[in-house]
Amino acid sequence: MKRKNITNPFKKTLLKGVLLLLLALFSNNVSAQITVEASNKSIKEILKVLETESKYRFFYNEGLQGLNKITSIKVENLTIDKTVSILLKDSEIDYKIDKNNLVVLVNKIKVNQSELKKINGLVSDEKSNPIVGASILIKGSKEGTITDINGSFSIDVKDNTTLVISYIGYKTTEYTVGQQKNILIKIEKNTKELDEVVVVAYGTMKKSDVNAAIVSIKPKDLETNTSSSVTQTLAGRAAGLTVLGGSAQPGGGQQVLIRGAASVGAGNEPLYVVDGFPISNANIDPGSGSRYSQGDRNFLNTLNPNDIASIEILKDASATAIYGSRGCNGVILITTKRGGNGFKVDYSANYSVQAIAKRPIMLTASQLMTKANGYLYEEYLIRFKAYPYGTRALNTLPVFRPKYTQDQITAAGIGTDWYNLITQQGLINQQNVSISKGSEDSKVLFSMNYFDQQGVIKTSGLKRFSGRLNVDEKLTKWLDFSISLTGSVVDNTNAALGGGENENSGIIQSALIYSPLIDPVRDTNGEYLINPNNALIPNPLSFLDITDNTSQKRWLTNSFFNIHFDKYASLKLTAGMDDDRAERHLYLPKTFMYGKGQNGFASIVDNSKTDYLTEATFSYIRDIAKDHNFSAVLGYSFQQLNIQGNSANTYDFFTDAFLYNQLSVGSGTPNVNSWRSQSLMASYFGRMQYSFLDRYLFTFTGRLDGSDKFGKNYKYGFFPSGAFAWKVTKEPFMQEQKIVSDLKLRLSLGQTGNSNIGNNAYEFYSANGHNYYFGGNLNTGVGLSQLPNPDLKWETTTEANFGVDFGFFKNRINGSVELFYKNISDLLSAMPLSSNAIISSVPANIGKSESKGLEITLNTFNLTGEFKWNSNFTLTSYRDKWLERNPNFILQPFEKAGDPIHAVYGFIPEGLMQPGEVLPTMPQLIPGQMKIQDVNADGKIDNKDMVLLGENAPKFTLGLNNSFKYKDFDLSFFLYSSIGRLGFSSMNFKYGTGFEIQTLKNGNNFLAEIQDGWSSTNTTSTMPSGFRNPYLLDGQYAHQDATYLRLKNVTLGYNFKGKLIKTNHINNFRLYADVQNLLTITNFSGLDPEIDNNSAPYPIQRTFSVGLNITLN
Amino acid sequence: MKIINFKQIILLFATGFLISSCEGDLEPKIYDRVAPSNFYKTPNDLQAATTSVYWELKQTGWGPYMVSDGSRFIMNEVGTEEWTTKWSWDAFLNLNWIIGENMAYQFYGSIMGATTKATYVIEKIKESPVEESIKSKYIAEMRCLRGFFAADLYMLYGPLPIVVTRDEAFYPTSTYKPSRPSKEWMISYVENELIECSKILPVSQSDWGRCTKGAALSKLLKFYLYQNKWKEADAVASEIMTLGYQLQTNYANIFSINNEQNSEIIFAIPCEPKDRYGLLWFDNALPPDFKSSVGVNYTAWNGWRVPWAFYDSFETGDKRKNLIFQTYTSKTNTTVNLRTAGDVGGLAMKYGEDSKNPGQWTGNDYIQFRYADILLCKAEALNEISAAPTQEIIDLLNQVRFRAFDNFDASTHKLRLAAFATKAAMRDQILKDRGAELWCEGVRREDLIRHGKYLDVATSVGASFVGPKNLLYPIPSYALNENPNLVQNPFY
Repeated sequence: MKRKNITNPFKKTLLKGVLLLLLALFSNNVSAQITVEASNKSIKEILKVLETESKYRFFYNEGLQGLNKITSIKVENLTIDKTVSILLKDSEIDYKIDKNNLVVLVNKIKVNQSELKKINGLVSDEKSNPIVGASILIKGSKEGTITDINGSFSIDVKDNTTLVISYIGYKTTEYTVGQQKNILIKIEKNTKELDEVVVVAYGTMKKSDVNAAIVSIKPKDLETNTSSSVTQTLAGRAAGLTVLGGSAQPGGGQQVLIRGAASVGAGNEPLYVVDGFPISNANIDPGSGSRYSQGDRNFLNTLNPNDIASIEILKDASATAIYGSRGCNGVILITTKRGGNGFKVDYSANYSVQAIAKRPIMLTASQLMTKANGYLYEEYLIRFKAYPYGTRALNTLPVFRPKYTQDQITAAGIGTDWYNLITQQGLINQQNVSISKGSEDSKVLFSMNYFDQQGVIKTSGLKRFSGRLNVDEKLTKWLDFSISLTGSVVDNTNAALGGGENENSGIIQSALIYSPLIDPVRDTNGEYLINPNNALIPNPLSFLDITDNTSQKRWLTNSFFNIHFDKYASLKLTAGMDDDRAERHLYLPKTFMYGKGQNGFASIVDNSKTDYLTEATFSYIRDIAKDHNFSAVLGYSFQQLNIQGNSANTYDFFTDAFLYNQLSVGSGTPNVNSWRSQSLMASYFGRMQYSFLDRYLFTFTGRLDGSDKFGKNYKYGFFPSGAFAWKVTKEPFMQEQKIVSDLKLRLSLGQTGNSNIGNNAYEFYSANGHNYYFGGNLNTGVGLSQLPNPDLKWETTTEANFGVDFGFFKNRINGSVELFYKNISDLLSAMPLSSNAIISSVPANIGKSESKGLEITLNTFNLTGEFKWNSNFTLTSYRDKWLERNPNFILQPFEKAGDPIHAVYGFIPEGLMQPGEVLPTMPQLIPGQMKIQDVNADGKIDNKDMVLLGENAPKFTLGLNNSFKYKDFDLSFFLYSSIGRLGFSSMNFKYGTGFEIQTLKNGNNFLAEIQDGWSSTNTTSTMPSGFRNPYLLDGQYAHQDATYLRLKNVTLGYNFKGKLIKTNHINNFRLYADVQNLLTITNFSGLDPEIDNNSAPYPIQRTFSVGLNITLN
Repeated sequence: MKIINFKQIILLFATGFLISSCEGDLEPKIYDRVAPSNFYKTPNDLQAATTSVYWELKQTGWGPYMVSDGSRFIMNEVGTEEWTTKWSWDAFLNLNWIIGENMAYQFYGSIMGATTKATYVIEKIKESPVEESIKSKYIAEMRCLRGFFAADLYMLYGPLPIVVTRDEAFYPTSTYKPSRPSKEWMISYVENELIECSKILPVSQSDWGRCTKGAALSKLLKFYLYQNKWKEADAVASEIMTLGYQLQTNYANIFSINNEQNSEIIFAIPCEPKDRYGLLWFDNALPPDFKSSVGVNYTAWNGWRVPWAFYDSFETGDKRKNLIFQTYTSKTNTTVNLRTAGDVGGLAMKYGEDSKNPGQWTGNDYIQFRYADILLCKAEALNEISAAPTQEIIDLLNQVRFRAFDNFDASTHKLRLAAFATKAAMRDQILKDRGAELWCEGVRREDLIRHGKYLDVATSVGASFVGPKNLLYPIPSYALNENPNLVQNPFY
């Protein structure tokens, strides 16, 4: 498929015209066909006229009451449906349009109107999770309703009416209404069929009608009790979704990927859409302020996971193309809970303690001294070229004097365990209340959340207060509106993280390497002692004196009016705003090395993002005729993102007492700054769906996106998609067999885009701090900061998807398999220019890549009796690779044009050099250092000898959840596995013997394992000696398989409902205990195969929780 | 067809409104940056543009012409007898500068780009509508800085394909893969640029810190010396001596914070006691328990030392040695003797303490060229030109030595021509005097190379990987990767 770029203004106008015309067309009746006029005739007579005027025939019992009623009718170009409904409006006759243009007439069931009363109900499963889309029928009639997204419904009934509740996958249940007005109905799974309503882009759909690759997750499947953000819980829960790495700190961010990461420079993060609002992924966390990293943070920390009703992962182009230039990395639709009929209160509380799952074992003081003596002895042998490093006899050497005497070593003992001093037990306290109340016309949900986490590294933590108000009002028959509003405050305390070295060492780095020979005490100035031989690194404990907070405040609101023209057509006008503001307050006190350097340093950075959305969508749903179902959505969307901020900092404070609270106390010259940027996106989109016989489903979508980010020549891009599905089990020939209960084949093809580059494609100059003092006056420097690229355009993904949804044995085994192929062209990235150029790169489209993958979801109901056992299994696998690279892109000698995108290159180790060995390829190597294979056999070791070792993306990720239920007990455990990823532990390499251990001489600490390193007295060791290998400047050799299997979660619960307190108001009273990250099986030697790979990672935790859930109504 | 009802009017109206109102032409709005059409139009624009090139000298305070890792200072001190560090820079201190050595990368990485930036600014100013006299002054300053950059690149790495033409600066590509130019081209380029700009630059600038005639000529002088162009060096030195510079009477006063912008200083990078704008000298040199004489609580990284052998090489009574601290007072008011404590050397306290400094960034202007250096260069050039040592040479040396000793004229420290029988003896004295006068000023490696002694000295101070390769630094491997036409320096 070739993408079109609409640039001509005439074409744009034309397009608007076509859209308006379409809107006008659809708001009338497309298939108008009957014209009839009759006055004062009996219905029976008019029916006869209709039979002659149209191709329809009417079938009725001659004795049907009301046939002789006299009436008048005048219709013009109306459908049969509309015509008949007008004709029979005030009669006692009901009708049904059947196959072959047959209209069946029957008598309406009589209901005594005067005895009717409205009841509100809630349908839930055994675990009190609401059932969405369940059908409620009055027994013996055709009247009924379905439950909304909260499982609520309301219906007008007489007393002692029996309701029949049915829902696919659940046993059909009867419920007799007594005197009560609010009822709660629980239905049980029957494991036969599974179906539900899923949220799709700009609408909802029955799962059985979906012909795109979509996974729906209900939060009840997720462990949200101890997670600040929902994305922290998604790994392994949905096939096609991969969650990688990330920071283990409170509120830490992860990389969430849908179907791999085949984009190279424009980001691979999916688009998040919260209640219809596409969230900009602009990170507003102010990172500036100090030399340390505050760690990755999850941008959804502001969203209370308890508020979420469902998460839909849109995977293929058919599902995502309607999001156009932002759809190529998949879309995550997050839908929050809404008020239901009746009154309900949910309260949950959770309390957790966290312990570091694996902590690094460092040398004790006496071990360090012994090893330092050993290192110095080796250095002495090397210097004099004595055995094993040379041939000189030991007795001809000057005497070796060890640095530490045996008495000193013995006296030193364990020394200071710095890591222990900066870590603590983690704690999480979460409280959540949600109140919902509603009637048929007015529904409200209000929730409040408090989340407080104390991190395992001292000074790290997160506190959230959030509130939500969701309102749905039906104002009149033709107008309703909804509001989704959430406000939250997230207070982060920032620990000084990061893997920086020397003066940039953060608290963890410092604690790892700080000398255990130094005492953890302050001197008379209030400063912690500094190791004089390594004086660039602040004392680990001195980091605790820093005050550093980031407070994030976010208002996210999206509201709409929905105008219903008739039962088919409606127009939705939406306005939304995401106002996200983060303020960082930092004070470096005089007792901290880099606060001392400025005599106290205070900084305030305020960064905010305001994102406005306006949308108009027109929907049309109707059955044109029996067996022809048609629906369409057309829309226009305009989004404006504003980012602005300011910062101020100063230094030289006479006291630390003011912190950042009054900057004018600092007598240094203040620095102030501010910034602002804007980006616009205007889009036209549409989707048409057609199904024939409920067996053959077709979908077409398209979106035209315009953005101000791109070059003059490529402002607009068009992204089309199409999909087809065949419900095989609906075919007549499938009706006889009993084995296959569900089989649907799906095929889709489409294009999506990626516009995720930071800046636009224009040239500009910046005042970027390139200032200079002349004669005591500060002069502002302005320099070129970006080069233009008028040809810059979207990255375009063309994706094909083949999927099979299946169910066997009445869906006792069900699931789906997806196969996809993506081809990404015009890859967006920064094209590196010659290193001599002023600007190091220019934004450019630099090549092509592909991604292909397999996803399997399998749900089984293993035991269905009193003892129930369900399993859910997911498998995700993808391969991303380069197809084509811009010939001007400079490759490293070891890179090949068609390499995997997540390639890991490295040297091939060949064991340690032994005494007497001669290595012509590595003349500078000394015994005890790692030999490197001369791959290209050119007689020397350089970066041409690096090879493709593997990929740092997993080959497979697997998730397996098992849940058991016996009476009021429930137990579940979740296993997660990542297979085939090549990892590298920076920490083990740097603080083991891989790099160099020479700073041992300065008292720097290392991993205890270095005691086993190769030395003149330990020549059988396979661990290098720790002398810096001069051949490793371009790369490393110590990559390892980071495959692991983790028992991520075990939960045991018991429901006390009605047992403790005798009341009818408690519907649910569940106590539970759970353990997260209980067990990890891996050969990876680092702290953890998954967490962020720097030399001082935030340690991963094991979490023990207890909690309770109460539902009142 | 039925008549459109009012709901549908709302629909059409609202949709039409939405579509027509917001979108516009999707031209980006740039709020906090300057568009190219709006810059290089006024004298203030030119000042801002040229300021950003001066910034390259110091960058964020850790820059190529300051004193930290990868600076020209460090590159010109390593392997000499007057400087070492206690940090574990084993490979660098051993002159084991294999490709990838970070300390050899950074200057190249910064200054190749800075040279292009200077060219860009020069060419943009040429096209600017601003008055010619203002343009020519700024262009001369930029050519002077570009001359510095080119000269230093040449002396540290050899000839390099620097970008000095308009189109290459304006329209960079990744396909530009030039070969290394000839030595002759680069030499004549540097010389011509510095000569040309020196004709336009004023002798002094009201804005202290801008390039002057003296600055351009001082770099030219050093560049001539590097090539052993003694006659040209002599002539340039003589020209500088007419510009009004004077020696300070007290050696310590040259570097005193209270005597900045003194008449001995030809060019300095102005520093202020402020984050990113100060000098990191004391941080690098001092031990953490050092007690400041002016009440500063230093950020002290305890790195640099002046080795004892160099300390002991001063003549008795040489006051210049006083700025190397063998002992200091600690924060607990005890006297620490570094020598008896087993340290490798003394503290380089050349710059005077800045009491306004809060602890890390000091306000000492960092001196690039000073007059005493010019006099010694002149002496060296004369010695090489002359058949035998002359009184003029002796006078120049004595002029510099005078302030180092009490009662100089009557002392044995005053040099006498009779004591120097040969050019070689004179040459050795000049090198020794340059050490005593200019220690830790980032000139020693250059001096030793010129005198053919660098490799021997480096070996004598314990560097174990010394070889002829060390006369130049290696071209970074990333530069070789991106441009295969760039040939690595010999022996790397």
